[in-house]
Amino acid sequence: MLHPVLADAGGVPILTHDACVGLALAAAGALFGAELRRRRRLGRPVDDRIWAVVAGALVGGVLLGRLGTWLQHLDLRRNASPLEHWLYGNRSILSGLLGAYLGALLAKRLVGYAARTGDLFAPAVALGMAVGRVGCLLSELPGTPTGLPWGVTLGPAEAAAVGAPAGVPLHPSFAYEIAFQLLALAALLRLRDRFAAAGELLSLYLVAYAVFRFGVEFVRGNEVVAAGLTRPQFFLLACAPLGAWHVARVWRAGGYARRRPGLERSALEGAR
Amino acid sequence: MTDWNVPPPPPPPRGPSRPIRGRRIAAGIGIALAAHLATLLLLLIGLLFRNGDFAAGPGLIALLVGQALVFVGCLVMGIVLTVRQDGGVGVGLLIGWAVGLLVVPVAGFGLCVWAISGSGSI
Repeated sequence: MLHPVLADAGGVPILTHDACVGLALAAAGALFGAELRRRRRLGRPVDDRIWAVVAGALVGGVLLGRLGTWLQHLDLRRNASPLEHWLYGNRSILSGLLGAYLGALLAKRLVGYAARTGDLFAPAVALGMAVGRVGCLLSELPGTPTGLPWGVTLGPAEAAAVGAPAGVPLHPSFAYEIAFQLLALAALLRLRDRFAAAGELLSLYLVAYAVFRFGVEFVRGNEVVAAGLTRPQFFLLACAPLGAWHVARVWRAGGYARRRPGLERSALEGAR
Repeated sequence: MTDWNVPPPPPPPRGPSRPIRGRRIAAGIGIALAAHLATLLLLLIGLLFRNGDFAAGPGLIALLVGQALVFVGCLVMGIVLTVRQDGGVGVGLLIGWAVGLLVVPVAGFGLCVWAISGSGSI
């Protein structure tokens, strides 16, 4: 079931997870480029300052993806030092997404880019997540024990490597997430250019992913820290009011109505 | 209405802003990746001349110092050049640094495994 090492290149192991992260970046970049070309064909070319926004998103995502999980314990003395965490700490896609969002906002502010960019990024993010999670599926703890027929069973060596019970069917939680991301990708491609408020595809995707992730955490197998919830669930609970407030605000302004000429601008202004 | 307030003239532009070009982005990415590779070269040299303890060895220290310099250099220059709308080099530096940061641990891990298994000392 698990294949943590993809290949061996002259004595140098190529780790499956890292290879999938690279593939995810390439796939997301290709889809992003295709969307730019599509808009150019439709006569709506994107300002080339978008590349500064891409750079900001990448830098923010990488930085917070690495450092976002530093605060593991409220007692700060129990946390690793930031340098140790940078070198050896675990990575988090949730904090990486937050970092990418903040990085993109900061870059837009720096270069004076006022247009909404979420519709451009959303399908690429979903595709990248789907591909990247294949690496997790093949190299990490699959999930909690289950009696469902599609549970995956690890051999003794694999189970010992990821800290799972051997010979017990486990939830393939990363397969659930890959399925979610592919469904989200199909929905995002179908919904693009549909909403009156530009840029809302990413907001809706993030809200949907947050809801899904909160649920799937119950079978992910991450450490339960308090009240039966894991750290990612607490992170999501902290972010939930912001997401709900944003969606409600755009909804009230008519931003999720079908796009019509002239409506986009007024809905956007109402939402701001 | 004799004392009109004459507004001060707008500040002169800091320089001509250039459209972002793929070639200039590629140049920035290349510079950042080359800097990342240079830190890996430091790691490799340190591994070849290490003396027993790898964790505190010169290779790891050189890699850390090198990465810190690449981090500061790429981010500061990248942001400054991007804000000045230099035409893509700044954007390339930022993208190259981020992509390189994903690649360096992979390559560094491979290098360590190769060096350690090659000498058979661990």
